[in-house]
Amino acid sequence: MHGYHGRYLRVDVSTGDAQWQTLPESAARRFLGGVGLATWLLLRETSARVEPLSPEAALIFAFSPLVGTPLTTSAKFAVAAKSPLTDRLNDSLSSSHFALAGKRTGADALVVTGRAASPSILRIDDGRCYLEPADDLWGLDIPTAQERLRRRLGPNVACAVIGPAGEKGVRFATISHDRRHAGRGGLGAVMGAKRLKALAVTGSQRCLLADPRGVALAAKTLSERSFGPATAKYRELGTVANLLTFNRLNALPTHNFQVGQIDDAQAISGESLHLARQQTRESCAACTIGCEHLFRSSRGPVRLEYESLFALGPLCGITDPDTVLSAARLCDDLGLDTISTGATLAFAMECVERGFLKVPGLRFGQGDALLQAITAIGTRHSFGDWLAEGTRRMADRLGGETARFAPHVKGMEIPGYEPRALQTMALGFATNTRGADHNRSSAYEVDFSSRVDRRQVDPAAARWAVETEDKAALMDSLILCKFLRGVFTDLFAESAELLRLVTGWDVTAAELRRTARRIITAKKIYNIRAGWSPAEDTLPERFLSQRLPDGVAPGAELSPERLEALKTAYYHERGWIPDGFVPQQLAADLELLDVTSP
Amino acid sequence: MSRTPRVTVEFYAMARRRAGTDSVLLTAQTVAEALHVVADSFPGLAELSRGPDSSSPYLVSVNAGPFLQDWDTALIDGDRLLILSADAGG
Ligand code: SF4
Repeated sequence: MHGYHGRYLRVDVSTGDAQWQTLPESAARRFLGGVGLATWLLLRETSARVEPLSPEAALIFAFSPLVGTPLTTSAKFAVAAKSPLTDRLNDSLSSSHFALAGKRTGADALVVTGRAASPSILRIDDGRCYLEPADDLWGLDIPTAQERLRRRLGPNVACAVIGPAGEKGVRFATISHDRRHAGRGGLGAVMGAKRLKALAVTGSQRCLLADPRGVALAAKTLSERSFGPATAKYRELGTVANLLTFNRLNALPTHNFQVGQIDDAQAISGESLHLARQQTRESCAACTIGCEHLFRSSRGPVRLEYESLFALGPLCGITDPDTVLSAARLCDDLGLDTISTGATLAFAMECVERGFLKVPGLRFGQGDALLQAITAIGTRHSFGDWLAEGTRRMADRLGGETARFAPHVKGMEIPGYEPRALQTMALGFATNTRGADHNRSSAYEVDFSSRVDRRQVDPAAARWAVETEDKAALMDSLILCKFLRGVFTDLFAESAELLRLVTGWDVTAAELRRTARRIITAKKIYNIRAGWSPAEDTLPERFLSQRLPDGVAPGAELSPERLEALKTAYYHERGWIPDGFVPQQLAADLELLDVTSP
Repeated sequence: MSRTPRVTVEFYAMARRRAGTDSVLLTAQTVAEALHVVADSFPGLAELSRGPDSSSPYLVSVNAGPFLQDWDTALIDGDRLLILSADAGG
């Protein structure tokens, strides 16, 4: 099989047992790699009823057919597990040398189960698999642990590492590699529960390409196109440029989603940060775009994205740039997802202000309290211990009306898109298998177009929401970075050609459309097995009962009836039955029968 | 004879970077006319003279309302025309 090793490694860290398993070509072709392959493996290898932090739970690292080729932005990997935050399937992407070294181990994926007897490093060295003690690393923050690992193992070994948050089981802990994070859904806690401080990979095994010259030519063309206007924003400004735009459109979640704008947004705008604090720009391995903008802070350089900026800034009522940058750096060092951290703190701040919770000083706009609280969460110290549980569990314990304004879907905290002002995105948040998420459902692309009135979206938009989700599923499984998406005129057709050159398969655009739909329906099947019910596909009551109070879109509202109509149209478009379940015939049509039996 | 409306054009993200300013005041009867003035004044935004085009890297809105497909939309005095990057997410 070209582009693949044709096998994956199953490791039980309780016993140290490692077994190679064949990856059938039929599975590779149906699920590709990355998120798709990880979904197939989760369905095949574990019960969806597993407790996410138990030894039986599987943590999967999946590479892809394009990793290791010269195609720009392809050095990526997916991590997947049942999420301790949502209790549903969770996948997260990260990039760079870990992806390259991981695939060179000779495995298309790694499936890790069990719990090591003591803190350990799982080493996979050219297919050889063993545990090394990591007692000296346990408790260290991520940059320190990475530096020690680099000195101990040398520069050719790539390490995915957890911080104190992962060790302590914070439900939104990350797995990090070279300042990049598999950020959402608490996969770091799953790794911590296995007592793995790091997964260290190296190897020399390469996959053959079906048409090496064709791949080289395609890579050259794609690289040239990646320098064009479609990626200019990412190269020149980064995603932080979104902040002022969103603020102007009353779509910037502020003060725990109570309003859509903040005074003094200019102070923390991407434009201001670039002028006053830009330090350097970096890129993942094998990327010609280089979207990573690093800014100066009192805690050192910080790689900042819009999502971290909104969550640790306006959502918590903060507009002091150094506080936001320091908070982002602290999250990165401790191994915390910035979106969930910011949203959990914003929710706690509103609870304090409304008398549901007592944490001295934790109020909107209080930067010092924000920084202290982040440390408390990352180490599960004091009140941080139960903020580390995330907003859904906090609201369950606080009771009263707090669930109405706890900002999550399926337990996943909501990213920086105000759902009432961006209603196709609201549909994406409600229906996505991962919970509130803008990366698996990129439905905001529909809101940022002239196809809909973003504040009064009608069910016709469901078709386009499905299209953005399908495209994301394809890119996340090939894997190509989604910041490249604007350079394709027909993503499915052009991806088919790239895949043909790598694998030799006679794959078509139509086949890849079906592949994307298969992957999304497979994720839904996992969630149904895990206990999904139709009531989960919704938004917190705040969004469905309160209008956005002010700004340029006064009165923007999303009624429960509108959301229901959008969901019905979405399920119909997916071929699911009206309450969101998957009909057996669709599973058969999508060649999913090998994963539908529990 | 009625006076040509005076409108403010606001630039965001890449549009601001290409214009080198955050806003400009001009007179125009329609969105298309305003965008032609902008395209003539700021060479970095010349593609705005091409008219609405699904491959355009920019979106246009009057007073933060729906994004416009029809650039013949009439303007009135005091309108604020927003030009922003089409890839507003990520
Ligand atoms: S565009 Fe950014 S995130 Fe994507 S591969 Fe390049 S540097 Fe990494």
